[in-house]
Amino acid sequence: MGRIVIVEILDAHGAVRQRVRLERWPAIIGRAYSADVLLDDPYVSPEHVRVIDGDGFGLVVEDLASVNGLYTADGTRVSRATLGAGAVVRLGRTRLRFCPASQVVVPALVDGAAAASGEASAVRRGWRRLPVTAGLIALCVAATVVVGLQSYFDGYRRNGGSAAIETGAALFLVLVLWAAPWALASRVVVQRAQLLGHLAIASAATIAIELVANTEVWCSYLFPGSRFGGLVGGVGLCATFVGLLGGHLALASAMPARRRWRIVGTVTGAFVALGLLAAHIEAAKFTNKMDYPASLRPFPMAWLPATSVRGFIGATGDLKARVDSLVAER
Amino acid sequence: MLVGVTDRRVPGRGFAGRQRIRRSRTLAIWAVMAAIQAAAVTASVRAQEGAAQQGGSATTSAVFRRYSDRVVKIHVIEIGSAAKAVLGSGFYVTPDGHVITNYHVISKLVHDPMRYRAELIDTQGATTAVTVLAIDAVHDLAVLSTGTRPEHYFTLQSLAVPQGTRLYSLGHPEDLGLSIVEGTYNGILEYTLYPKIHFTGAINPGMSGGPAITDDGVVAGVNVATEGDEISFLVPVERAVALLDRALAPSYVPPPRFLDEVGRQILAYQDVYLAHLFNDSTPTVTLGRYTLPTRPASYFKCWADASHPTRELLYRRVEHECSTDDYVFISADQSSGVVSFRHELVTSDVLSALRFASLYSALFGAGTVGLEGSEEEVTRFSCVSRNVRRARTPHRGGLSARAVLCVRRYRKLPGLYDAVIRIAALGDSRAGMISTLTLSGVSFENAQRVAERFLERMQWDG
Repeated sequence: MGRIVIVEILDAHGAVRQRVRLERWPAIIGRAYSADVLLDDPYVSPEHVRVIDGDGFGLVVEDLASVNGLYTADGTRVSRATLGAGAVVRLGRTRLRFCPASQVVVPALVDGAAAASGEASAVRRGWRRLPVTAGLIALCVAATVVVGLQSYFDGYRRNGGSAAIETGAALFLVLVLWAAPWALASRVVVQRAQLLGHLAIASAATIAIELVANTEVWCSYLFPGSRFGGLVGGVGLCATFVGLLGGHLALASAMPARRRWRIVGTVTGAFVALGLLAAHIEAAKFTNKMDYPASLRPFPMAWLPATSVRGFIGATGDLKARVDSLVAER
Repeated sequence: MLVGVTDRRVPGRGFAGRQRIRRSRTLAIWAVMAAIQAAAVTASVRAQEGAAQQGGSATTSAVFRRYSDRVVKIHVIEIGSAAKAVLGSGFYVTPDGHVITNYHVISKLVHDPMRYRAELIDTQGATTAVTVLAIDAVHDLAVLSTGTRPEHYFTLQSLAVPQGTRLYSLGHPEDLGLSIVEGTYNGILEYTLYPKIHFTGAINPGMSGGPAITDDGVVAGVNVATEGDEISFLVPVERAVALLDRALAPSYVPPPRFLDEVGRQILAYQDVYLAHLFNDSTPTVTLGRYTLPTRPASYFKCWADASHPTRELLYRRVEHECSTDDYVFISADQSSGVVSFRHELVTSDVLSALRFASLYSALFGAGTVGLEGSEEEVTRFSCVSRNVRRARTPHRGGLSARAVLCVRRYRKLPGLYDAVIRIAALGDSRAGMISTLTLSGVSFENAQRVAERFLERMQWDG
């Protein structure tokens, strides 16, 4: 008979360890070297079961008086079982799944690194991936170092060095805790965890956040009267979030780019809306605190954009209208 | 502190009290307790002295006998709960039953006339409703109409008495019954925004608005405030004479809303005391390479202190601060006339330029300056900040600084604002100077003017 059936040997977690093609019937499955499907399981007898080609897909499995017997997927010991497409049986400690050769498989994942080098299959493994791996690791290290340095220069107490190392280490821990659920999701959805990839994405976002924050500080130092700093900060933060979410989704799902960006856009939009709402509520709250740009940086005075005393007093002119309007607000 | 029972403020003394323009409740409670304790000690000492000097005691009891029926107790009552919110004292000054007391005793009535009412209790225990006829918020005085016709009253007139004259202060301390306190007239205070009599005697909460009289029954002043340890203050009788004259003038019409009148009086008053603040003759002090204004008027007191690097802090700080000791009572949480400023020089030999900048930013951003206030009374602060530079000239050093002006408005008193001016000197990599000037209850235009003059008095050399 010309029927072709694929036997999938599964591991303890249900993942496929090996696939064997059956073309000749009846077929013997067991530990014997003569068996058609050879199992390396000490609890499996040399000739454990025989598979007979029945009607339709109806394969029939018969126990050949094995020591440990034949079990169906629900754990019942049987001497003979008729199998449908995708049925699972257990022999000793090994589980087998029987699939028709016509079974549809999921499309292949796009391998970015391989596509770049133009050698799709060769780049997947081995030394060619080394620069990519090294780059990803370098990104994680860079994020840790950047955050550590930032903490050192932001501090002004004794033992700034050890505090910086602690902050760097804490950041690394946070990065791992952040990347782990993404890796898990990737493993479930696309069968590859890509922990390093997720870590690198989170690291890049961390570096971007530090960059944005520093840019904002410098803008508010150089132009304390303008909203430029805040704008840079807001836009930078949004862009970073888009990159972060987009990156993680690209690694953890096989969805088309268009759909991915739609999701990223929606989530980012929701976060921005929430943030603006929170800021609005916060701004309406009463406080005795004064809110003004207080970041001062070392910078050559001659280049610092500045106004005259008169100019400053002139700029305070609209303050009166501003606080008077606050009275009307209530 | 003022001696109305509900008033909780204690003006700061020396460095420990700095920056507390509206002082904390805890401090005030301690101060009240200290005042009570001091009064108790004084009373026991007096009792011993009294046994030795029978003559003095005889005069005091005679003064009390003769004049106590002219002194009344004033309650301000919260209408909803029918409970008294403020206790104070007052005294009859006309045959038509006009009573003089402190503005701060009846200020709740002025601020919220729908919620409070006031009544007077005379020595016989009879209660009469009173209304406000005129106020002088700056000098903390008020004239009340009572509708009663007292048998006896004090006739007010200007009075010049020599230092050391014995005065008797009358009033209701802590609602313990009408009391008389013997003390000494120690002259008009030199360093205050407006004249006040320094009275050495234990005035206590509840005696606010009561008279301080000579043994002939001539009013010298009105009880107003105490700092404990027998240091007390009286409003000179001349201010009461002026207010009473104004209130009794045939042309006088009480304002429809006294709160607006408070606002007008304070606006006029701050125009006067701010007019010359930080003008060209203001003295300067030099901290590091920074030349800064100091003690702009005689009624300012200044202190200085320095801290050295410790195990934890890698910088040195030198502070120079000045403030008025005085203020004008507006309400329990608001006052005007408080002007304080502080210069802080910060230097470090250990921190790198970037780390010093972080320290400097943190010190500059430390956002509170002791101006408290509730949402009912003031708005939030709104700020404008700029980098400011003035070139060096042969006559004057240059200036490069971050300047911030923050203001907030009094909700119930149109035209009055609190203002904070913060300056951070720029240009040094391991040194900095932060100046903070606080003005309370001023017009916006004056805030701008004073801010400009404050900045113009600063210069850095080198």
